[in-house]
Amino acid sequence: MPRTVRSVAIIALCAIAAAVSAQNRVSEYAVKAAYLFNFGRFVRFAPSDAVNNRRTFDICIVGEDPLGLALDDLTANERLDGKPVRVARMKTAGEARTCAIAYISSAEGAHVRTDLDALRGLPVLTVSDSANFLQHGGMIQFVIIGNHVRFAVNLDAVRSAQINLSSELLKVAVSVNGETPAGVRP
Amino acid sequence: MKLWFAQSIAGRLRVLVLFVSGTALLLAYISFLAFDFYSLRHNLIDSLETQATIIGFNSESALLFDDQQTAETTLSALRGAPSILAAEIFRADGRAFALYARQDSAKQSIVPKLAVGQTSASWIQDRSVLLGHAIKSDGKFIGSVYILAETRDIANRTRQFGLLSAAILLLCFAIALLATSTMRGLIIRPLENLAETAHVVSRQKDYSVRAKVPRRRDELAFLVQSFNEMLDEIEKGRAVLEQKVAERTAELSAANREIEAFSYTVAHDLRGPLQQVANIGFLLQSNAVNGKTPEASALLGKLVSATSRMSSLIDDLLNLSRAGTAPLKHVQVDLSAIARTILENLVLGDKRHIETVIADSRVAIADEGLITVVLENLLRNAWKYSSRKDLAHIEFGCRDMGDESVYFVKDNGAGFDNAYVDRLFSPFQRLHSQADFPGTGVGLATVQRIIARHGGRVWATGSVDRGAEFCFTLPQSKCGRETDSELSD
Ligand SMILES: Nc1ncnc2c1ncn2[C@@H]1O[C@H](COP(=O)(O)OP(=O)(O)OP(=O)(O)O)[C@@H](O)[C@H]1O
Ligand SMILES: [Mg+2]
Repeated sequence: MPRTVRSVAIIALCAIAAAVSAQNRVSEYAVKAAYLFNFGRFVRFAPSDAVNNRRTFDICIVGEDPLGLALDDLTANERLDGKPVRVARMKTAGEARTCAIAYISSAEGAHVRTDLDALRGLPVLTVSDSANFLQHGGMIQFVIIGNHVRFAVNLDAVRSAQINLSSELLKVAVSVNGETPAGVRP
Repeated sequence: MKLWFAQSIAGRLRVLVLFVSGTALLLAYISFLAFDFYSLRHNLIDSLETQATIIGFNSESALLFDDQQTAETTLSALRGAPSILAAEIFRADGRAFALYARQDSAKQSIVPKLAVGQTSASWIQDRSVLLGHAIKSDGKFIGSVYILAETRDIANRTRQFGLLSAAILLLCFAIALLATSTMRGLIIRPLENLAETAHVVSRQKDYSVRAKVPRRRDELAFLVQSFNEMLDEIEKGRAVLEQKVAERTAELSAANREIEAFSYTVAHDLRGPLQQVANIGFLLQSNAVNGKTPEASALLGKLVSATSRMSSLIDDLLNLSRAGTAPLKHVQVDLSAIARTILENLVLGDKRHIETVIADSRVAIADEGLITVVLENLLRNAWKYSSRKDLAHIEFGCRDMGDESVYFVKDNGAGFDNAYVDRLFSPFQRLHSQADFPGTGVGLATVQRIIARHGGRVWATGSVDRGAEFCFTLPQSKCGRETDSELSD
């Protein structure tokens, strides 16, 4: 029964993802929530004490949460990397050190830099939709191209954190060299 | 079917060989084709399946991150497979996601058909195969890929196979022709020879011919040999038989001649002494009446009558003997005239109340002397056996029965029991007692012998006290008037 519910949820989300052309803010963040979860499928953390100590696969939302319950619905009863997925919300990046994925909302504004500093060198995949996130050392940045939610990757930052992103994921990234293509709306 | 029965064995064999090889080839063609068709299609589907799996794998992230461009790039790798007409990836909800088409015309042809929960399936459309494959991520259905491939290869193979089979069939026909002509030498020619020989034997009754024995030691040679041996046997048997028949015939005719000669001599030689006895008896009776007792004169009377009876018996026997041996001289005879003369003489000898009917001018082709003997015997019998009647009635005539003309002598006298009719024509066989009607029983035997020598038939019908009818036929003779009959030699 939960399986069916899950499939239905995913199908619904994909449908939503495809319907981004009729963009409103809500569906955009629903798509982003799905992407956050999907990143988990393509990310591998090099074994280290910090990684080995994780009991759950935590997807953390730092600062203001624009995603709402979409992510919670999506990840309920799911597992990633063999661990149960948990969604956590926190005020500062410092609390997110044990997370697998940390989403820093654009509302953080200038805080983004300090947030990134707090997580630098840790096996935490940082994701944000704030502009220049990659230039500041972030790993994945959401961009909007032609009404579609896409993402760009800063592979150097990823590698220096001992994180391995699957080539399948990189294949669909807008760029992997830390630059965001011109003419994109964050 | 008619053709089949009208044909010679060789022709039938040829048809049979052609039919059998044709059927075998056709069956082989069909089964090869079916197998080929099946395995080709199977292989095609297998390879499509593999390609679909790879594409599904490679487009997982594209589907997850809504990247149509990447998906299309993945699909465009199919350009390397010329038989693939189109491929399309659909989202989980069935809407199109990415499309690849070899030609623009193939763009609209794919409609997702996979049922919920189905991993993979294929559909045969005319001249093409559509394969659908579900794309999953972590066991979850996230979309599907469809590949449309044409089956031109299969069609080509079918045509090539057909051409090849036709060529082989032609070859088979040629071999069949060759085989039947070989068969001709082996089987047909000896058979024909045998049939021809059998034909000669049955038509010309020539048992000296022999069929040619084939050089090979097979069943046919054995058959021909046996046939020839059989002919040998028949020929030998016939020769022996013919010889035996000839011997027996010679013996028989010799015996016959002896008997004839004997009976003739007996009859002829008895006549002289008998005449003397009769004359002496007569003289004794007339010259010496005075000195004799009445008993002696009665005895003399008996002696005279006995000798006269004996002399008539001898006459009859001589007639019978002559009937069998005298040469025939066929002429046209007026039977009516002869019958009239005979009856007139009978009436002169014994005045009786009698009625005679004699048909006019009934002629026949016969020996005059002998046919006179016949009529005399039949009319005398009629006269004799009707003597007890108050009003005797005797008729001679002729009637047409079918092709034949039947002459008859009919009376209303004592008649006879029809059950014994067979006996009448044997010598010394009589149906009446000597006391009632005296006679020797040779007359009808003579009649039969004469008619038989003429090639005709004689028969009688009668019933007790109601009279009798004696009939005979003569070949080449017709009842009609003289002009109708022809003389023949
Ligand atoms: N017209 C007839 N009616 C009745 N019976 C006949 C007649 N003609 C012949 N038969 C029978 O056939 C028998 C044979 O006849 P067939 O003429 O051979 O002998 P037959 O008259 O007795 O003697 P014969 O030799 O003197 O003629 C006779 O004894 C008689 O019984
Ligand atoms: Mg008689």
